[in-house]
Amino acid sequence: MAERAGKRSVAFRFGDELLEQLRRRATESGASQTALAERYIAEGLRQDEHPLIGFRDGAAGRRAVLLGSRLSVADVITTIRQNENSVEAAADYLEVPVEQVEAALRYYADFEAEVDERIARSAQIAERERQLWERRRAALS
Amino acid sequence: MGAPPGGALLRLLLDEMISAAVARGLGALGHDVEAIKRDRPELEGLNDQELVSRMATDQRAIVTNGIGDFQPIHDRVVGRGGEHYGMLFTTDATLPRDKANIPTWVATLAAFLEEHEDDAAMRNRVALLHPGRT
Repeated sequence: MAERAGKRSVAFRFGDELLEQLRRRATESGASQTALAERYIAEGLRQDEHPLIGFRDGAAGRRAVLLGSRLSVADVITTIRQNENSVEAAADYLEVPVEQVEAALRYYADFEAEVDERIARSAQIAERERQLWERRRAALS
Repeated sequence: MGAPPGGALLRLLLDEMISAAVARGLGALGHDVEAIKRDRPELEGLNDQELVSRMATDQRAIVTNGIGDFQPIHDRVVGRGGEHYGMLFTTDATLPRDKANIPTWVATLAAFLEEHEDDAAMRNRVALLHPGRT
């Protein structure tokens, strides 16, 4: 069994139609079939555990979102923190059911480091843009 | 507030991380501001690029705190000679997302709208919103 950088090769048997769909999607997206298959399995496993969570592509990376919405788990967690760690106050602010905020919190409990990394990266980008904006203002004044 | 001669006013769409209460507050002041969850649920299924394209058609600038996701789209669209209808960025540090700050959000966006009345004022442009400055 080949091993590489913490990954192992394993054999699965898939139907021809599914493999053709995977090949077609890989060609369309520019991703490798292996990378796509790994992502589909990883996200499928997460969705089995967290049925109210989905995933969405973005320029800053793929993000976990409340299913059927554009609202990321990272944004829900930040909103909870900005509302004195109150799930109810965050739900009230976002105008979503408390159950959806709870679902995001449950996902966060399982993937805390990943969500925190996205929150920290977003904060860094925002701060960089703010400093750039301040320098631009100073240059124009 | 009055419409510029022969033109419409700048219109906004609030991304989902921003409370629809902000849109209601701006609506009460006479501004045309929609919130995805309240006014445009059909947009909830779109990714960022699709949302930008859709708002170019609808001629609305997008208000979002997703700078890291939207700034690259701006760079790509403008770099390719395309068109979007504007992106207004917010940060959690300067505009926290809680109920107590909704009046600040409304005042900040109202001031921006009054400074940028032309409906195409933000075409192919981005701006960082900051309370007290436009």
